[in-house]
Amino acid sequence: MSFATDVWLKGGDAGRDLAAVDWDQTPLGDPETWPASLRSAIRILLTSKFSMWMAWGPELTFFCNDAYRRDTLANKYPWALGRPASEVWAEIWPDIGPRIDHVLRTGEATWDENLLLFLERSGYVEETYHTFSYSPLADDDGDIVGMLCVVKEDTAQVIAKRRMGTLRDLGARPSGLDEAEAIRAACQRLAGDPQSLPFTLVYVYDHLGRQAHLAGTSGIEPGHRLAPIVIGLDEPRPVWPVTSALAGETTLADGLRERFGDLPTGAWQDPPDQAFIVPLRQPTQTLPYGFLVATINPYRKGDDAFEGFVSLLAAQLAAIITDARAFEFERQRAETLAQIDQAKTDFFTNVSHEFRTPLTLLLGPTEELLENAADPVTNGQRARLEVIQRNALRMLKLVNNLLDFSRLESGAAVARFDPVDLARYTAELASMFESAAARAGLALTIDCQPLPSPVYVDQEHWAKVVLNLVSNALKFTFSGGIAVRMRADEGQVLLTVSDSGTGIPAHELPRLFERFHRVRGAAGRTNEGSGVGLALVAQITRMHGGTVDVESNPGVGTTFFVRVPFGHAHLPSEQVGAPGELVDPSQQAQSFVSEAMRWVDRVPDPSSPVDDLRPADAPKVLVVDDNDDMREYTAGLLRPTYDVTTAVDGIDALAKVAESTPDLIVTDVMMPYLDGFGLLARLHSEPATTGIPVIMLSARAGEDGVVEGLEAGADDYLIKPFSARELLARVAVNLELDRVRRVRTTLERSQDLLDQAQRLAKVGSWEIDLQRDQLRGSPEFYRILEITQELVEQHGFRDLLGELVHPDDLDGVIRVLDQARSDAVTRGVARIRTPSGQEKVLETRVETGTDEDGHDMLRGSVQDVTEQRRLEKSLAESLAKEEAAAREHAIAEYLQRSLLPERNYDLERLQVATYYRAGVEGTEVGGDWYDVFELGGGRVALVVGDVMGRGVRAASVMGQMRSAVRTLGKLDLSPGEVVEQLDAFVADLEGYQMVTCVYAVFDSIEQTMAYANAGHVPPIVRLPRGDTVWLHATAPPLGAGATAGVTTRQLPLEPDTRVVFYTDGLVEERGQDLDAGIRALEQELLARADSPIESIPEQLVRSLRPGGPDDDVALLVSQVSGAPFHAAVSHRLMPGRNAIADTRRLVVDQLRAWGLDEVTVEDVALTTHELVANALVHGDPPVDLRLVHTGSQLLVEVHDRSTDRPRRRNADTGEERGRGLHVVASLATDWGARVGSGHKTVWASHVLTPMGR
Amino acid sequence: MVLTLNTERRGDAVVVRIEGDFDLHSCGKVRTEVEGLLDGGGDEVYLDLTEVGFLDSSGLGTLVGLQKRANRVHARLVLCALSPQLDKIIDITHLRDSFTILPGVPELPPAPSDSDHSDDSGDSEASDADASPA
Repeated sequence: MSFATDVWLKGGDAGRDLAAVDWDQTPLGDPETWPASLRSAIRILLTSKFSMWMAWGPELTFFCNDAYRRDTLANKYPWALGRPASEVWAEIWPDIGPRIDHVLRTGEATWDENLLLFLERSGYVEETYHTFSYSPLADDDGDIVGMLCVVKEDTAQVIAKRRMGTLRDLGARPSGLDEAEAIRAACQRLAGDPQSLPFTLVYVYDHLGRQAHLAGTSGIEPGHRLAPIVIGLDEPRPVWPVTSALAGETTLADGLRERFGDLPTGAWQDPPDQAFIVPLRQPTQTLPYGFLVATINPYRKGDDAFEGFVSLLAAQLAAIITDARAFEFERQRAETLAQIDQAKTDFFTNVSHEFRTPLTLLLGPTEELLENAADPVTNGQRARLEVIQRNALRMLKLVNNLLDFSRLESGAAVARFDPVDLARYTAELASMFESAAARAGLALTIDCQPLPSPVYVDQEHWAKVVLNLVSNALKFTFSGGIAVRMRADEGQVLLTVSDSGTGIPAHELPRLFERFHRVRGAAGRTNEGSGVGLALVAQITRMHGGTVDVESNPGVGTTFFVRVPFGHAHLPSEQVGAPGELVDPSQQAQSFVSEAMRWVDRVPDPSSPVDDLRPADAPKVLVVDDNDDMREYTAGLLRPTYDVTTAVDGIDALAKVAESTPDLIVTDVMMPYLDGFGLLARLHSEPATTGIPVIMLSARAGEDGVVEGLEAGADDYLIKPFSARELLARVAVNLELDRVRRVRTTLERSQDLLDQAQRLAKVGSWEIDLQRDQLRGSPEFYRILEITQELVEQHGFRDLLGELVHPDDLDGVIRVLDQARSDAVTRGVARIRTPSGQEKVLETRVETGTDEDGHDMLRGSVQDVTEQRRLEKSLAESLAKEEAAAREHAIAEYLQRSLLPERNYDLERLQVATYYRAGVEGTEVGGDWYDVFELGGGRVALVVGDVMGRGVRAASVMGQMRSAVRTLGKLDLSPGEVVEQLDAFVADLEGYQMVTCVYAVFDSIEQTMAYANAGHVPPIVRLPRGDTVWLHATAPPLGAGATAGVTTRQLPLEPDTRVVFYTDGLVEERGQDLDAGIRALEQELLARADSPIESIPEQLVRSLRPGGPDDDVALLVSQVSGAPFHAAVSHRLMPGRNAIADTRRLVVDQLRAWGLDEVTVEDVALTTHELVANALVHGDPPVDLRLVHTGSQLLVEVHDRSTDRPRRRNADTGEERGRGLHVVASLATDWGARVGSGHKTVWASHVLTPMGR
Repeated sequence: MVLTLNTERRGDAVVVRIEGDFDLHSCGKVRTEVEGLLDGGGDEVYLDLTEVGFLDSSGLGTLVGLQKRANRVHARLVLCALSPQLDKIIDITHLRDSFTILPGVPELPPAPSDSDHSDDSGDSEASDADASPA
């Protein structure tokens, strides 16, 4: 077999191609002539799966196998076969030539690992890595004539490893950087791999997506023409394809060298020519953050692997941006929160500060008054001035505390830390409380051991720590003692303040040092306090680099531990001072100590001399309050009228009650030892004290407090601050109610006594033998009935019964007898007339039984209860009378309060004067009334009415009528409708009632009066010209019969028109025609045309009823005043979708033209808008708008053709609709709707502040 | 003033700047736009109300509706930069706690958008909610 067929054919493609080489053209000549050693080497080469090449002979002719061809040779195959090796690997000959030379010369093999070689096998210079060994090949004579190379190409692994490293570096990113910093840091890492990435650029799109901003680079200077700082998305020829990146596309830019010439080269000789532009995708979002430009190593192709690498880079960068933005968002949130906190502190500082000035101005003059020897105040004045001074000082202390606290918190307070003998200073501070503790009966132990070195503290602040803790201990300790100790402890100073006080519940401990936190329900000497003290202690301790802790056992005591480090290393050096004098603590301690003295030193003030002025039998009132000044103030108010005693807390109050039962107790709610609720419970638990009326006073505002108080059984409840008048009124009412209650109790008690007497009354007994139908009675029985045994036997008892018993009661008696049973007593009461003609009331009791012979029997008794019944009846009557009196009293009071409203009406363009007087006979109250109330929208309702009849009944109906009219009026019903509704209302009242009434509505804008008159005497209108009009009844009296379809009449009212509304008491006189009376009134009215309206009612009554009215008189005179309107505009809304906006613009322009302030303009524009929108959406066109400026108010009226009354409701938070009228109601001073036939007007009025006019 | 909307993506968030009068007539436009954003998976939608000169009860009702929608799809709706007038109406109607309200428009991370839609025609329907690039 020839060499060719033997060797070449086993060599696969390479063998075949080697066979094709024209070997005669090479120094090796015909293969058949080749030495055996060459042949054997070739055989090894061709049959190996390892990548190998070899060179042989003088020119080092090149051979290789299939593996080498595949892995390394690429395009050089098959050209390379049979060529000189130096020609095949010309580009790397400088690298490998010396190695081959070495092998040939020395016969030693070489070994190279991952050697970088730039091969040109694929049409370009390529970065490659190879691990290879050259070994010598000897010819048949043993001379080295060639070399064999076994090679493994590592390019892929080396590059992959390098890229992995870069990606890993990028993944390890520091946190806490902002976006710009994070991107710059990432680019620094990219710069660490200039082989993979000669240079890179990171661009980020701006908020608006209009530009891409350069955020980071590696290997290139920002601002380079390939690295513009900003690329506009609208640039016609951007350097980088910004828009396709925005669209999320990855693109490959080519021909960089040609386009841009000189470029940075990274790790290489030559600059890159290509770049990938990869978007930096946002997670969950379509739009990318920006894009990465990754230039490609010029010695590598932009292949799939590289693209994969670059997209991983882009993903890492995007993640970095995401993190940075999330971090930034969090940071901003934290900053916002910090700002809010700062704002709060600023607020407290400002408020506290603002308080100090007025307090100082209060204190100065007070002190001046107290100390002015030249013009001394009286003792009474002194006492009151001292109250002012004491309380202003207390408030000042609270404010100072708050101010200190907020200063500390805001860091505004600059402390000065001086080295101080802290044990001595602390002992001095604590000792200030010695006398207070002694008076409270508490032991004050001060044990402050000398410390090894001075301690750096701010003296003023430290004093606050000690003073607050000790005064706090004093406040909550009632027995035992307080100990203040100081010693060195583990390199720190330890101050402990312990007490044997009431202790703090465990669940309160965590919040104890919070600002404004107060332990609830803690028993202390006083409830005074602001909840700032302990927070201040904590804050100051922190400022000194220390800590504060607390341990507490309820009922056992509390210990506070304050630890502060020695030395000053922990303090800001610029605030550390030098040793100096100790500040005298007494000044600062004074306010704490004097306050503590007040708590422990409670002695009720001696009664004041006003005691002598009040009547001897004045009701006794006990005033209970723990605050001295408050107690004395309350007591002082009551002393002129009542016999006042005082108590300092609930326990003291119980002692005072035991000494002498008061008629009424006024008590504070929050008190130490036993609070108001506790006191109330104790009073109620004792029969002797349960009836004492109790009025509670509390600073807890709001309905809840009231409910709590009344539920606890308080008779009344007053919220602080209350006026003197209010207190006196409540005390009087409660005493009065109590008196009524007591009368009733007395009556009830006498009823009990009566029952006993009844039992002792005489009883007659009887029995009936049913078989024989015979009755036998006891002597008492016969005496009561005034009959004899003989009479019974003569007439038979049944007949006799018929004669004696009152006919109405006879059936009852027989029923009692028939229903008699053996197991129970049946009883009945019957009236009888005795043969002597006397009426008696007898109670009969019956039971059945058998006699000794076994005959069925009826047994019973009769008892004369005539006297008892009479007593009972009179008792019931007096009881009813008493109750009626109480009710009448209450109603009279009600009338005083409600019937005679204030005399000064501040009405739009209407003056009103009123008069009411009960008839001269009248201790009894009548049923006349008048009323005036505003309806809003420049309209006023005027009412006068008369309930027929007198007394409580009439008065109570009148009260109901008054509120019914007000209610109906406020619904904005027309006068006719009001009258119709009132008629229905009166018809529903119990019993037959008749009421006359005039209801009129004055519209100041329209200058009209609409009215309806239900059977009332006609109001008289006096026109400016002197004519008069009588407003005759338009409907029958209310309750007289079905009133339907009452018409509303309307008349214009010019300025200066007067209208007189009155009741018949003014014009009715016995034996005189009513009309004559009205005409007399008319004449009097005309005669007084020039009198001021205020004097008219009085004058009319005096001249018409010179002897005083017999009957009630209610009188109401009104006069239209002539003040002109400021202005008014009307506007019809044109249909179309711009109607609303146009209207709003018109409104705003008009309001501005009227010179209203912007807030009012905005408010009115919004109310107008809502009303107009409502009318357009829910109403019927056309919609008209009217704006009226009356000088003092701004009125919006929206008119449409529907008659549906709009309803206001504020939708639930989840509902989308239904807020319009709520908004109107909230912004406007008043609003309402008037519905007429076929149209309605919805209006809103805004009262203008003087500024807004 | 005619209402215009300007929708802009910023990071995970979308900021909708509303300009003009937010009332009976224009509230539908806001509703369409913002509902689209909420339903389209916008996790956070900021309504920049700086330039809303006027808000009526219908506008407010729309905000309530959008808030409910946001709650339903677990998205976040934030009202930003309310004028005193808006503040007042929200207080009046006791709706403050129903909304997330920021005093100003937060600095959100910048994000690109070459397609922010600015709809100035006023009467046309809202601009397409998803501002993804074409």
